[in-house]
Amino acid sequence: MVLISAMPQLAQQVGASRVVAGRKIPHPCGDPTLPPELDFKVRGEIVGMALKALEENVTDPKIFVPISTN
Amino acid sequence: MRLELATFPVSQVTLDGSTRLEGRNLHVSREELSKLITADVRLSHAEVDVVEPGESVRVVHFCDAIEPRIKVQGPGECYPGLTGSVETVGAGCTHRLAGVSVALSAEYPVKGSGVGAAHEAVLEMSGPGAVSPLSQTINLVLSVKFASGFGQTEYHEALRAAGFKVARHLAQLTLDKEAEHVQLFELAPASGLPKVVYIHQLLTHVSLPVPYLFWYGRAITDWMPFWAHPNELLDGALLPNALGAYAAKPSSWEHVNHPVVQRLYEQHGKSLDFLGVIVHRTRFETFEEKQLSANQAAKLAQLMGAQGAIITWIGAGNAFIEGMLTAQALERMGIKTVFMTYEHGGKEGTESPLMFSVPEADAIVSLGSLDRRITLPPVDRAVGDMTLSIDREAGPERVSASGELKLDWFLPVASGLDHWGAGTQICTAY
Repeated sequence: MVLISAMPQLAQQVGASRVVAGRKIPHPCGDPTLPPELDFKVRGEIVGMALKALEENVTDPKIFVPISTN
Repeated sequence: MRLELATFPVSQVTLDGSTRLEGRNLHVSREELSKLITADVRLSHAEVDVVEPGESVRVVHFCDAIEPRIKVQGPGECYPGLTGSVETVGAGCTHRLAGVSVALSAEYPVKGSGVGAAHEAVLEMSGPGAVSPLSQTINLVLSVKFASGFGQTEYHEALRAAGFKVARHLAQLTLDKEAEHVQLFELAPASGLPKVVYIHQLLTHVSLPVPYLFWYGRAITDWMPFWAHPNELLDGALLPNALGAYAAKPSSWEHVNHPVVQRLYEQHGKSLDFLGVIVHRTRFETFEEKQLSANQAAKLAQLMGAQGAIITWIGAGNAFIEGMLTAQALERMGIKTVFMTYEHGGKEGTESPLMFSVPEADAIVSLGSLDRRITLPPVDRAVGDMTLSIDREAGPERVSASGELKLDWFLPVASGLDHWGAGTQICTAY
């Protein structure tokens, strides 16, 4: 299981096994303030990181940060 | 900054021919107030009713309640910013009518959705839902209908202005009269006592047509924490909107009768040194912004020399994170912190009470629960409307305003969340 959340610390605290850091609470999987092509790139990075996280074995809740998300 | 607050208690409100104050009896002319309100073309009709504590009555479409206050000496005006003046308030002399409020009831025709929408709220004057301090005051209810052809922002502006206009009109009745008692509010030096700051967290949003919060009439958006003199709060510098005074939005009356501010003032110079208030806007949308605002609030507290802090918060979830992060930041600086919060816990009280926690938050005052169901029994009469819809987004069905209301949680009940410890709800461990 992987959870994309804008509040990764909170997701980690409730015990989600794999947490991907999303953008903002109203739009975790992208950034509508960006031009469409850049938003698409961000969305790809977040979902890509989620798929990558699924491939990893974890023992404790772990936060994965998409490369360009900050 | 020295404020004299002169109190004129009201124990009876009588609707009759002319508006006047005779001792503790406030006489109100329906026609006069109605005319004042409908002078604004955006408001087509206004009814005036009186509801009293203990009465079997429900106010529906409850939007806000205002305590009549007026500045009689000193700079600025009460509830500043509404009519343009942003002169700093909190000094001089303010008159207030106590035990009475001007309550607003109106149903916004614009059916919005999400965080910017108007919320249905009911104010109960008796029974299990009478948990508000306004269930203990006589409320002069203005039931207002909107004229057609305007939008939500205009309706809101008109309704809110009407409420404050009526409140001011009533407060003016005290001008030539002598107050029953006068309280002095001043943060005089109190050296040697523990220095305590109050961190007043309030949620709002970055950009909404109608802001959640106003500071001197200006919309608080993504502001970082700032310092406020408690007297500014007593003069109404910090106010909510009038889009529905549901459980997550204390009314204007509650803002100027703030129990934490009152209690800290009472103890100032006796058991503590009250340093003032840090107003902390919350509900940021990224963790980093939440952390930043928490750090900034703690930094201000440290610069003020605080040894202790009380945090309260408002909201239903999101803004809770700032509360916890602020408690953590303060404790790490060595500032002892008490966090006041309601609990979740689910319908049976068996689920996790807090959605997020930090180990540093080791002193928490519980203010009751949001999640429990509540049934409001039928009432003899409803004021504001014949019918209502608790959740307007759920569909067009409406129920009788005076009938039994089975609520899934406390959110639609005025002051259903006791954010500041004003109400009567308690938690029991058993």
